[in-house]
Amino acid sequence: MKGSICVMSDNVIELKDICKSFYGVQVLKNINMHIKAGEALCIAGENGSGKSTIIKIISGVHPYENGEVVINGTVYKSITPSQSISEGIQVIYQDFSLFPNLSVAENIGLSYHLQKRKSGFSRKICNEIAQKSLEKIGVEMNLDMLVENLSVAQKQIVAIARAIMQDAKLIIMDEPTTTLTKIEIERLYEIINGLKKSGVAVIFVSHKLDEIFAVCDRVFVIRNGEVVADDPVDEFEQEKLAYYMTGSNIIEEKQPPVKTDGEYVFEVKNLACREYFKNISFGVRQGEILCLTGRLGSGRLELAKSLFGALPATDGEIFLNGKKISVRNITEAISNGIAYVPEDRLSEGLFLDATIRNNLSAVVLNRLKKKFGILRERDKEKLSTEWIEKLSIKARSGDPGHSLSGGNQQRVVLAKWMASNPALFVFNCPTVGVDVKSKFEIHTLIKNMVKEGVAVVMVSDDIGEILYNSNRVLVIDGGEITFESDTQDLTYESLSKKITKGA
Amino acid sequence: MNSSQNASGTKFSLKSLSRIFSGSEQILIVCIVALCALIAIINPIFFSMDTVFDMLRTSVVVGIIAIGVGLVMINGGVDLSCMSIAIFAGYTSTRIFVALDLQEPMILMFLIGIAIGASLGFLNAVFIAFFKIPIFIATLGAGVIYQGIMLQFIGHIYVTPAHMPSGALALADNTVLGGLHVSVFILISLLVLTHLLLRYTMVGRGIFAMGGSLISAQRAGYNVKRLNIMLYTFAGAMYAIGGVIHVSVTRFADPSQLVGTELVVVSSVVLGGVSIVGGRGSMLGVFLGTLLTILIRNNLVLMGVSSDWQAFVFGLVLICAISLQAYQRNRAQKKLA
Repeated sequence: MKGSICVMSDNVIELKDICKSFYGVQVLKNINMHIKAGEALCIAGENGSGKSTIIKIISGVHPYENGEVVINGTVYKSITPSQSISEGIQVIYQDFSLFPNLSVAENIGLSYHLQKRKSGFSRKICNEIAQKSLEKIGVEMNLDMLVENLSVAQKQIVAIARAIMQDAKLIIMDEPTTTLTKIEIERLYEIINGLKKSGVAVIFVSHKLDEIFAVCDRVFVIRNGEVVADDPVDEFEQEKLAYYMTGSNIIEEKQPPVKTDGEYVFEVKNLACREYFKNISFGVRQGEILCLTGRLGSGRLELAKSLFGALPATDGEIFLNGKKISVRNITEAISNGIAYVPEDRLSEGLFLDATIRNNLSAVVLNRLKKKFGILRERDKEKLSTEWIEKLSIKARSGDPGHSLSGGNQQRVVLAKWMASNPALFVFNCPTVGVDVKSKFEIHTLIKNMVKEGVAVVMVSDDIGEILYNSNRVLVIDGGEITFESDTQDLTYESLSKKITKGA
Repeated sequence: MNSSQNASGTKFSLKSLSRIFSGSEQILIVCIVALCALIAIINPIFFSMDTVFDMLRTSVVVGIIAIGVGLVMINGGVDLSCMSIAIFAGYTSTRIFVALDLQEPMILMFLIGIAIGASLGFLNAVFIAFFKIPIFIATLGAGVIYQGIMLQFIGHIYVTPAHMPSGALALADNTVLGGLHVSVFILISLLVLTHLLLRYTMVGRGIFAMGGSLISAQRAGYNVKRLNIMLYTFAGAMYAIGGVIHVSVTRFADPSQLVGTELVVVSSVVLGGVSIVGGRGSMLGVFLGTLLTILIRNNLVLMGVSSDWQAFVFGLVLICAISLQAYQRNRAQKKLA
């Protein structure tokens, strides 16, 4: 329904007293929001705070109950996806929604054909549209490449090119930097600044604090469906933003180094693996959190995988409690007491369709099974209630994995491995894509774990995370350890310099 | 960043060049030529125009039905009701002609068949798009239902050559250029027509787009339900044309024929390089895949391969083709990483 009243204002879009509830639960309460042409607005908030609902209301996917949306001066009491698109609003989804089997030109041009309601398809028009669009953001690309053969950053560029192909007035980017490297993120910032200059408004959804400060003009924070802050970015301080998002002050303290006389629980000597890394020697003490960091492609991920046998080392020795062990595959790693928590907690660490009970028993099946390999539900139930309580997981043992929130899923994965009483835990970027509060909770979990005597090796690219949650850090570059230090002796800047030194 | 963009650009154009030369069509042509040469060496009788004409004639029915199945597979599905629809259309249109005591015109028989096939294809689309039944199960079940309906309501008596409409018999005998069957031209024009539809219409690109990513197609603004209906209706019409030609050239309408050979068509399509997960394929590939299938299934006997072994060889070739597809995909993925 298109309203007839035209309100003159320089706002591209304005939300007035928007309310929305799902199944009787109010998720948005009287949201007022506006954005001007050429402005970049950041919507920040924890998972479930309502930020994705706002996006879906603007893009017309969700109807709203109260209030109105004013786009380019036209008042809408309700809006459909096609109305939203024809008003020049484009959403770039996290998965980009591209066609992997079609070429760059086709991906960009197909939407043009659809919007113009054409029945014929012209490759020539596609090429022209794609070329023009890519020029607008200043990128050259082979138009005939299939999208599946592009890197993630290039795919994102195609998605952006497609979004601005028609005169887009507002582009919404949903957590656009999650899968990008540092250089690619810089490039994205340039593109966003270019869009701003040409008068396009940008809504940027993110919970990474440094990004918000790098690219946005204004910060819009919501918590539990309510606006808690809407201020220019220069009036914000990092600590204040975290406070707004969580409603509580999170203060993290640096971890003191573990006393040096302790024996190494876990030690590797001259570890090497094909072209990935070589000459890696280090040890982890009981109760210590050791961090591996480095740039993308430095070999830190491969090293972590080798410790767990997922990518067996081709040379070198591994010791656990002073005894030499062999870690040629994952089974050997588990039986030696090494646990691994993958980066992508959703796809790699959890059986999404299985119950929490079955997820928790997966690693300790051998211990649980009775005569003739029979498993008793009773034993599994006991195990899962125990861990649900210990880690305060908000779920029942019969719930399926996919019904849990991200933070709780991570806890289940943790509990699953902790149940096997490992001596060493390997974490691979444990808080990627996790909001501030859950991040804090995961850090607390890990720190509590080491108090019970396990050793932890953590791969992380998040300098704040490294400084405040590990005792010692190793910087890997070109497959070798280039720097080692207690975190207590480091500052944000000094560590950041050590990591990017080679760049 | 700009320089790296350019560098990758040149790499990509080299790669796309090599893609043309390692495409599945090229491999297929090499396979077909090699196999023909091998047969001709062992048995020189094979090496004649008659054999070529015969091979083309034999591939008409499978080829036309493979057009429909190929489209469905490019779209990301698989159609196991193809043969049921084909024989339903072929048998029923013959019975209608016999019942009305019509001999001509053949075009009317085709139109009746197409109407039947398109309706059944439309029904498939309804099962899939509106009831959201998985495509494999929907078409498997639909095929059995159609077969049952035909046997129950149309009947199961044979229409023997003596009772076949004269138009159909005339089509069976109609050859040009000293032996090339006219139905070959029907196959080729349908292939060309479908190729053009796929390449130059939004519906055709939509079939590819859906095969690539269903959700993206929806978000881009495709009406996915309407697209499904058009696709399955068109495919149904193809099956029907195949079915009518089948009963005509065999001069015999038997409702139990064709059914059970769905997988021959599916394998031709897969051999033709149409991706089993959708999003990839061409009509040239479908045609070449059909030729190779016919060659292996019908002509290996000329090499002295017993019919039992033919099945074995055919299965082996099929597995090789799919392995090759998977290998190429994995290699492309690895190059990315």
